[in-house]
Amino acid sequence: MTAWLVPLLFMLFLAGVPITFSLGIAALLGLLVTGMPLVVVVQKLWTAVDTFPLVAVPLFILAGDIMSVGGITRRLVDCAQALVGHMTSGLAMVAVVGCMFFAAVSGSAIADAAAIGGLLIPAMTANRYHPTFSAALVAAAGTIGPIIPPSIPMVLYGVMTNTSIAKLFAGGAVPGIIMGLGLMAYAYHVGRQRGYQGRERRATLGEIGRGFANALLAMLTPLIIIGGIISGVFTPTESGVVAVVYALVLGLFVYRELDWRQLPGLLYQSGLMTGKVLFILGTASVFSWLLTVEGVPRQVTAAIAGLELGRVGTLLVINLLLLFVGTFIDTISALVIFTPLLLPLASAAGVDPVHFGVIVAVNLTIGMITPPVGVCLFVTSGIARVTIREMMRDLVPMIAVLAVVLALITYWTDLVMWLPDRLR
Amino acid sequence: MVRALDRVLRGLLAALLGVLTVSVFLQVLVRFVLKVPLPWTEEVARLAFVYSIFVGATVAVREKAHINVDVVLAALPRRAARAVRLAGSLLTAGFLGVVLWQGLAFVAATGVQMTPVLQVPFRHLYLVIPASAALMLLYLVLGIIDDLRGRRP
Repeated sequence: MTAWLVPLLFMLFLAGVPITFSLGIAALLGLLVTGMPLVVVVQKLWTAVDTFPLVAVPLFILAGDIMSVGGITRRLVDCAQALVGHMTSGLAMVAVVGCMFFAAVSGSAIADAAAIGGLLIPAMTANRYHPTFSAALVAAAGTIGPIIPPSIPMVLYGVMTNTSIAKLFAGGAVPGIIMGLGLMAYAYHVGRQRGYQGRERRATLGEIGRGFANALLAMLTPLIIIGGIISGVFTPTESGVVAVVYALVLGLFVYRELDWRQLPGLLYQSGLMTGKVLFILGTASVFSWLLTVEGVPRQVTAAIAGLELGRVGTLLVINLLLLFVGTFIDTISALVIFTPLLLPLASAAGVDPVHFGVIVAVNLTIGMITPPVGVCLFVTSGIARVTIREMMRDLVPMIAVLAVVLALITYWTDLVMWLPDRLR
Repeated sequence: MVRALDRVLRGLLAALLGVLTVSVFLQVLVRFVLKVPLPWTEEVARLAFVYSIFVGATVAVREKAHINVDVVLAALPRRAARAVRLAGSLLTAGFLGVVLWQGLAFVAATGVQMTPVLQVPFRHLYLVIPASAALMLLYLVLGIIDDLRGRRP
């Protein structure tokens, strides 16, 4: 009955209405037509976000912001330089490994691409890498940010579906590493063709040691966050605050690159991001509540189950749908709109909710580097001063690499589930 | 006048994030060091968090920072784009109007229920919903006026 709400929603998106208000307007019209009480809108705006696990989201955003200005990012990059800087396409390798390190302290692709891109894209340009290649690579490697734990999309998925956030985080670790290795392999291949050179010589053991020693305190951050959550010492929310405080201590007292006076600005910036991202969750929950009450997810599941696609076919259809959606809606919005619709379908096909959460997260973050709406592309193209059109030739093979990883983790369940299954 | 309001909201948003961080940190500290739970920390953190969303969303209307899809708008001729934007803003205003109206009704209909630890009446806490809807409406209207006067959105 209310299936028309979905096309209406997409028309509002295309008309440029902010996604959060598009959801609110569509839901409101649905309530009016079905004669349900309008007060639901107000209730859902509050109850959808009034839960402690979600408090992790602003904390992870804040931790990432503090690390970028507090000197932690640079030390992570120095350490990556000592490890892989000598290889063919050395700086490109450093960029990917740097993104993987940063991914382990931050939960967002934009933060990852901005932090690493800001440091490495200028360096790569100075060393005669094509700026289009550098911009495409850092954007693609930025998508590892929300896959290697911690992860903002996975916190939202876990809260919406009552799935263990610790298990989701654990499930992202191996896929994130494979994404990084895939991009490094591709960068190596391009480097051989175009003659991107690494540093003259391999770092000596002593230099690698010094790199690690300098970065040691910074490198402890991922250990504290991921180790703390997976071992059950901290809840994800608590690990978020530990990351914030640790980053503050390093930035203010150890590296001394952060000033107290910068704090209000950082808090404001994170607050604005929190409002943008989580108000969407509020209006989306009104929308999906309405669809659920009207039985739309049940009908969708029944209709697709009727096609008898089996597990392989169902996951293929879901992945293609999400890839399509992800090209023009941002990760968080797509996640909160489609999870309630698609999880019943996946469960009916026998997919574990943790596995499904990781598939959705990887799939939708790929959408962050697909034009026309690929937020990571906006970030890195700005830093490299190239247009997204110019980046396409270098970008398309990287998207293909990530799509192969997506297929791998979709159909090779153990890649995702091995680690979470080891948690109690 | 509006500038002062902007400053107050920005300051409030930063303060809410600060309160949120400090209370979660106290929770961790007290749990690990004193081994006793400190029940008010979770409640304060949650309230600061929910408030930061409403205030943050309000500031985002002012900053035109809410995420949207602008490929179609960018492809349209200027006048057509402006007309589409205006229609979208009017629909958004309608939505916010309903949130304001229903928010006030919701506040009025909430009884004497208190938060479990701090004993703050929910009726007072829920005021943030109509208040932020009203401010978002104000900022939206200011944005529409700017747009009609031909200033860059």
